[in-house]
Amino acid sequence: MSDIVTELESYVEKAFRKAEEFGVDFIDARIQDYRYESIVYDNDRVKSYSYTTTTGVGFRVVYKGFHGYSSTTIPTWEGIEKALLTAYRMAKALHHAGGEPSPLAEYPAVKAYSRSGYIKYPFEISDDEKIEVVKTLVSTAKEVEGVVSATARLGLQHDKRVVLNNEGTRVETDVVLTGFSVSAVARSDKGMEIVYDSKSKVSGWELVEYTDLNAMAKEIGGLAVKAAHATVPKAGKYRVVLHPEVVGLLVHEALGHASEGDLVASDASVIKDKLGQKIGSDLVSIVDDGRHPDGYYVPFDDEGVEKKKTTIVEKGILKGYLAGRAESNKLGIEPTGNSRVMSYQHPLLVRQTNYYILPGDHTFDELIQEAKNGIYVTGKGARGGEVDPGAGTFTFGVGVSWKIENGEITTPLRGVTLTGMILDVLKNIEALGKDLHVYTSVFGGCGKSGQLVRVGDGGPYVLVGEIIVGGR
Amino acid sequence: MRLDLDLEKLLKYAEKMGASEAELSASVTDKYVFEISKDSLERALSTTTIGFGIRVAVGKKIGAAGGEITGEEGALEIIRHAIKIAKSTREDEKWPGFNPKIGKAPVEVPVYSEETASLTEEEGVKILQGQLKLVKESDPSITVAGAGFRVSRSYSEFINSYGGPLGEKSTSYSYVLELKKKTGEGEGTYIDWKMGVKLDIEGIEETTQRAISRVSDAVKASPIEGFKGTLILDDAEAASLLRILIVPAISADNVQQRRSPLAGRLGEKVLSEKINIIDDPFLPYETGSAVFDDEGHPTSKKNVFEKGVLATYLYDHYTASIEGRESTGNGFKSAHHAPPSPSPSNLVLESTVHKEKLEDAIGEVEKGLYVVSTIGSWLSNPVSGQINATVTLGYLIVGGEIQRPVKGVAISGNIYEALADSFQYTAGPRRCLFGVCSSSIVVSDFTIAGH
Repeated sequence: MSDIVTELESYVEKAFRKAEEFGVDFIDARIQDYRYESIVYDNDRVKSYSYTTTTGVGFRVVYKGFHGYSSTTIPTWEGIEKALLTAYRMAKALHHAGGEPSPLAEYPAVKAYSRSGYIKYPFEISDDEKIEVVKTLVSTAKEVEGVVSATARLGLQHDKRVVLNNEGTRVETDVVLTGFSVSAVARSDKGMEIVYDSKSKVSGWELVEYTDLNAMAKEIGGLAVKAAHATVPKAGKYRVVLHPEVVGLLVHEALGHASEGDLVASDASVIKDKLGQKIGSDLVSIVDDGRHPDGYYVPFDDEGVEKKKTTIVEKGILKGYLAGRAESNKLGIEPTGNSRVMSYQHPLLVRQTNYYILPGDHTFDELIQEAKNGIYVTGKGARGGEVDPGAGTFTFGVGVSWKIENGEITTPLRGVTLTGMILDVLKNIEALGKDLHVYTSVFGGCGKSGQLVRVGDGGPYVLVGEIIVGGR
Repeated sequence: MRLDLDLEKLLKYAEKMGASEAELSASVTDKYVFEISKDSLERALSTTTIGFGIRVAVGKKIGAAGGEITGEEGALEIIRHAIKIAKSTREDEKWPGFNPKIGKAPVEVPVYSEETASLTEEEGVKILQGQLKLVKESDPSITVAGAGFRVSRSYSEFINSYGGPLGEKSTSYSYVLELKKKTGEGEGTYIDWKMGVKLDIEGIEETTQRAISRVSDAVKASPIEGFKGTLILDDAEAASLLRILIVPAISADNVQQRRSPLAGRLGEKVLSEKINIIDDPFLPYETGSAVFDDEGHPTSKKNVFEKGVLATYLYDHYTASIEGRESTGNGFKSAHHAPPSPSPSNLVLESTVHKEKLEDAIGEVEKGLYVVSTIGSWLSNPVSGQINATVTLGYLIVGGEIQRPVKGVAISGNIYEALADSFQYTAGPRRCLFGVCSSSIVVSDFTIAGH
């Protein structure tokens, strides 16, 4: 750990004792040392090469069940004491204002250290080698005839966190994430289209070395040209085969958010009060797993609770929700290790880790044949999604897609969005592919209440009997 | 509030360390937030942060670094990191240097409100409690699933090798409210928000009242069969689509890099001749207002579309220099260390045909949908202009009257058709959200993808 983290930690114990003198129920601290490097190559130049760093400590004081937060970057007792007193003052202000307290469920003290693996530390790679990666992606994509513009990004992240509480927990996690992306714009007489792809992994520079950058860029350039010539499908209901990237978006948006315990407890989830009920087809089993090797690495959450594989849906039956210690107390379930923050400054929220559908038994070709007529929906160029977990509606923009005619993939389609009601889609799943694919990203993640956290999602290829496609 | 950093001294340090030129910015921000979850005040947060960022050039090689710091030592470390990057990166042959024209526009624009700045935490929590009370007194069956009230005070400073420092203090507040109602008929949710520079208690209460009324409609909302008809997008939804689709398209960077559908169309009639779109940094108490941009260049008011004709793109110093012209004062950054990107201050859509009352617009619609809440509109595609959004609350209009609330249908089409031949007029009051301002807009022949 860096010197400043050690310095910050040296005051935390004193802060806990002081808080206890005030009669607080509980206090915890999150220390973070975060660095991020980004290179953007735009057509013919390094558009930006930047480095950011964040180091600080955030306190949560729970006073009579009310949660007050404050933070500081100043590694002196004065800085720490001010943050502590502010968090205490905010918790007391809530208590005086009245309302329902939100006490924490009990959880044993944990001592742990967990580091993600890598072979080559990416921050030690030469600047020249890093720039060459994004330059190669751009120049290869631009060689494809019809591509008029290309951009590539490289992102490197190192996030060290220490969670401590006055019950004796000290959990240190250390995660290195590496990734790159390329986007290409193509023009045709039908207009312009952009296609984007990225690859990220909790690993070091080896991810770059094991990837055929030319093949990736060529594929994206080619897809952009096809997309620019493609037609927009007529809006309506279709049978669809979903690529695992799209399945990831679907489960994260459509069910993942609705299963977050804070939304369930605050009456903002469409699956509240549905534990033990059938909410999807018999084929559907869904988990949230903090340690999937292709997802983001969350061995412990930011309350120091161990993140195990949580079963949300088993054979169509709703089995659980995601919860931090406060929500677990409200919902009467065990904490699942899903209480997370964007940075040391932020308040805890229930967040997903790596959310995915478990695979089935079909080959990809069998799924396309069973679809007969419909759309094969892929994720290259997908722009993400959004959900209203309370109403149960979702929408997301997917990438270049393909018509399925008489059990075969035929012509490309663009401008496809999927929309519908969460529970209808889960019930309409007709078949699942054999292979599981999980994805994460160094460039984005999941946004909630102004906090972005890294997540992963995925599943197998999935055949859905009916879904609303927005198009023309 | 005070920024304990001497930017002039830090600039000299960067130049001494090898920067041929540099651009520095810093800010100190005090903020507090109160949050309600399920009818109960549950969380509160208060912090002070100091942000610092630098871009440096070593010849034509550029590096940038930034972050949250504790004081001068942190700033010096960031400077050293930026210079290390600049020394090892590649030359940008088109690099024109940092903006040499530093100064403020000669206009008094209020972006600071003493009323907001002096609002104590105790007063802040009372405002939020007051909204909770308002909801419960209006309809006890409504749950405040979530609500938040945030107040922030900030002081920012800018300097580069050619001028400064320029300083500005600002305030902002935001209020967000998510209501849920459950009856025998079903469930409904509705989210709304209000933000600005100057605290507007009346506006906050109006937001709460509107949410109370709309969540009751959302309970009764259901999908409908698809049709082609008139679309009325309410002020907030119209502003949201403009932000997603028009804002990237008018950026000179996207135009020069051939990512904008408006490239090469300057002087062409692109939108309906009824439409003017103005970039206005001088609107009092709006969050996008400023007298200088993040490159220290004075801002200016300009027509981007005039009677539907594309009049200008928005430029920062880099994109302007490529075309041998001056920046339009639109070099805004997403973070202290980020490169500027041509972005609007406040982008305002106005129509020469406007109905004061929204009810009059609804009265003229034979068959249509009045959309007040969507999800996923940010998935619309700025490169193609394709609109996509799923309606979480809308109202079916038949024969000039609202028939019933609707949800779960998708709206899709192209913004350049919707704002050209299909555009009818604007109606009702104007609302500004996240730097884009619009009244409700009325568009004919729009596709609604239904149940």
